[in-house]
Amino acid sequence: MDVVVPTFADQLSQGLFLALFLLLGLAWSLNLAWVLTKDEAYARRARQVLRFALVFNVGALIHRWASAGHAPWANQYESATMVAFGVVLLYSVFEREAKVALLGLLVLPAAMVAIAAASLLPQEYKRIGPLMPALQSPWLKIHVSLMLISYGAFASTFGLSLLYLIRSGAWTRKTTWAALPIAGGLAGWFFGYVHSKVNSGLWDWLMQRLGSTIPTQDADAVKALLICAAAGLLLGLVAAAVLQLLPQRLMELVPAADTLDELNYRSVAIGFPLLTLGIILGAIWGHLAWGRYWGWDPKETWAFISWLIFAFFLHMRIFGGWDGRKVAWVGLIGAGSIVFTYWGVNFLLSGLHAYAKP
Amino acid sequence: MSLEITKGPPALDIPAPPVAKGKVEALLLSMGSFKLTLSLFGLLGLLAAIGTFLPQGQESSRIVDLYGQRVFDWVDALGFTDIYRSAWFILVLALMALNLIMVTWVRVPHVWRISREADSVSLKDPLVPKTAFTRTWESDLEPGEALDRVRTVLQTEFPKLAHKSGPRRRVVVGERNFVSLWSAHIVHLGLLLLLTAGVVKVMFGSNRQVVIKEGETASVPVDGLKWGLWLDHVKAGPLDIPLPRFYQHVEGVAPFQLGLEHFEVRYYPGTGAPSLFRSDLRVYKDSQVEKVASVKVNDPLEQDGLMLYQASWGYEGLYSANFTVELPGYKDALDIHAPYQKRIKLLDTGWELEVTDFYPTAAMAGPGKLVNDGDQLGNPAIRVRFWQRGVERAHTWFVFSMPDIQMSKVPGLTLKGKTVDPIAFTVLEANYDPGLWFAIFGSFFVVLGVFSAFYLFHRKAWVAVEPSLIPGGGCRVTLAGFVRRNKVAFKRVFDRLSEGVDKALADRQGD
Repeated sequence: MDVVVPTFADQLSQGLFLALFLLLGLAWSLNLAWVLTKDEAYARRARQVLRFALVFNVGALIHRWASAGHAPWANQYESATMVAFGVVLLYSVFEREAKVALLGLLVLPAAMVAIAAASLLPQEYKRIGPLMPALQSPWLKIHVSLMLISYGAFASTFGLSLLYLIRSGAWTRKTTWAALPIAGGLAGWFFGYVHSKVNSGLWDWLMQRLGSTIPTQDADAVKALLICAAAGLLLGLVAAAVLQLLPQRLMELVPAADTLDELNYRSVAIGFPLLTLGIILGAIWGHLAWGRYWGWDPKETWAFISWLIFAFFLHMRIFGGWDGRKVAWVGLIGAGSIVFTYWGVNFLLSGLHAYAKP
Repeated sequence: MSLEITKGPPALDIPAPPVAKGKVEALLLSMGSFKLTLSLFGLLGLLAAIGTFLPQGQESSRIVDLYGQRVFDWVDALGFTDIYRSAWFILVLALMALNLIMVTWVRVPHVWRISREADSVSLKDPLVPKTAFTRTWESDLEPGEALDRVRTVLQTEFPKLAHKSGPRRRVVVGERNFVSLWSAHIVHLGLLLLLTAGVVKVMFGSNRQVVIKEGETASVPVDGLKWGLWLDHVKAGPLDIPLPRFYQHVEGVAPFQLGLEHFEVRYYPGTGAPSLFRSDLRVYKDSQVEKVASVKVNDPLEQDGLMLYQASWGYEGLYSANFTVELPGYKDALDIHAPYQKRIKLLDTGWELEVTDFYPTAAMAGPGKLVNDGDQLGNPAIRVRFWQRGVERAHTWFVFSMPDIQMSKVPGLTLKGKTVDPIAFTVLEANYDPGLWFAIFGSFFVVLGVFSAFYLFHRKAWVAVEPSLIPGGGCRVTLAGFVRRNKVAFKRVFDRLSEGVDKALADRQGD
């Protein structure tokens, strides 16, 4: 395998994204301090750091744009920073209005995970590269950015749905013990699967530890994936155990269920129109580039499935008379579908939207 | 002064379903039921998701490799090997269309009634929906004076007010964005248009590919429509249902021909990353060049109602090949520039050769068995026929990337490839879509409906003033506000109005 040597611009760009990750981590820590101490000074600091992170994020995107000569969301790595921007921007809007202390603890990790997961990809996936002919279109700037920002809005839906379920008592300690290890196990397996696909250094290291021969044997790969899933499951168990230690008084910080329900609706009210517009503009681009506006390509299909889930969410909330709990569960499923649309489709399914690779 | 704020659950705005007058009408009305809408959401999402995990269409044979023959048999029997064209899927889409039509049929009159009532003012009890915010004041003011005061407050949020007076109660109503009451139906209309676009495209459209080699001309296939009666056999699980069809596609050709002058592939400097794919074409009509045009990815060509898109490309055949040959009995290797499929003499050696075949991407399919594995220039190989003094001596493949492997059985005869100049071909998608305008308007209405639903909040506020029931009192002022969505934001508006009314009534009392 050829060794890809990053240029100075690559290193600077990756350094900026790493710094962004650290800034978001700092904002998250300040949020945690606010939650634990109820000291508003931490909240103010957290907001200041977050505002700075937003500006920093814009700066990192501009640098990448200038270096690449095209909108910096042409592959998985670049798109992660745009998703982070969407998450932080829309979370800031909600935080400013709702002042829900715990929300940041749930939402900001979405941006951090997006950046971290993309940063762990091999160098050839991260370097600044030219634009392939299929992406040489002004629609790249509009369609992709709208889709990615809508994903950011749905990160708030995830946080608010989860908070609602906690507040309403639908999410119990048992749910935490069950959900976090399962989610961790699935995430671990997917993490391993992605790294096996991209032949990352991490995967090579794991295979070496298993004493695997080259080419990799299927049995060794399955063993490695099981190890990844087990590691994820273990992390989920640890996270569940840590959450059990949190004092019950934190519940006082969670707003009333009605308020959360309304905010949850508003997060969808931002994400859903953006998702709708993004899908429609993508269809126009598809018509201009491929001669068809809809072709049931996996990416299109999963964006449509996410759209259906949130349309279901809205119908049930407005007309269906469902209580907030059921609606919040649908919100969580919708957020899961968005994650699959964004990451899962790129690595698990093939199609015309396979732009994760360089 | 007494204060009261009530806050109810989210508004329910479904009219009672009309009473059906017969079985057919009952069936039609059930097609517009909310439960069916939700079921179709689920079913459509499920079928769409299945289609992303199972290889579709021509690739469906891969299911056997992935999941085994038994699973494939089931998947095939259910029509899931081409799920987006299966009877199941089309049935779900048809039900979705019917559901949208019936929902509109049932609910539009209701919304129409609400819209018509927008400017009227109800003096009946209950004055406002149960789910509204309300607040009540007892004031010493005369009712008329109080109404004048609070009207100005209401005008700060609702520039246009409607008034009505009854025997006891006088009411002022403000309302904004009642257009948004139509939002859901605008979205439904858009979705119906998009479904119509799909049907029109499948029935009346054409989507064919044309392959043209450099230097050649090709006709462009176009599907036409022929009316008549045919029977289709639709597989739905174990059932084989005969269905009549009144049209059939017939293949025709476009009124022009395309010649590929040159196919250009460019790469970013210093990389193997392509920067451009371009087909340089000549459009012929009646054997005359009508125009010269190019088609690029993202930049199609429109010709006689057909849109031509750059779909794919590759290599087939050669212009020429460059290589070196060592002949038996000769010390020096010869540098050869050989035109494709043309016999050439090798100086005065008595030898001749002809490059007869070309593989752009050669691969070994077994011992000594060479096959072509693609139409991109991956691993070129040429097959060369040799003659010595008119007698054929060898007809052998030579792989450029493996100069050490010589398959010739003639001792001393070797060939080492240098470069090839292959002939490119382009694959263009020729598309005719008469449903495009349905899709454009459908998309427009979906976006318009969704955005107006979320960002044009229908909101309404009432102020009712009536003589106080308290003996000797002035009047009772009731402020009410109602929204269907975004209660958090409206609560702030309502609080502002409440403070305004507070101030207006208090100022008067202080005079």
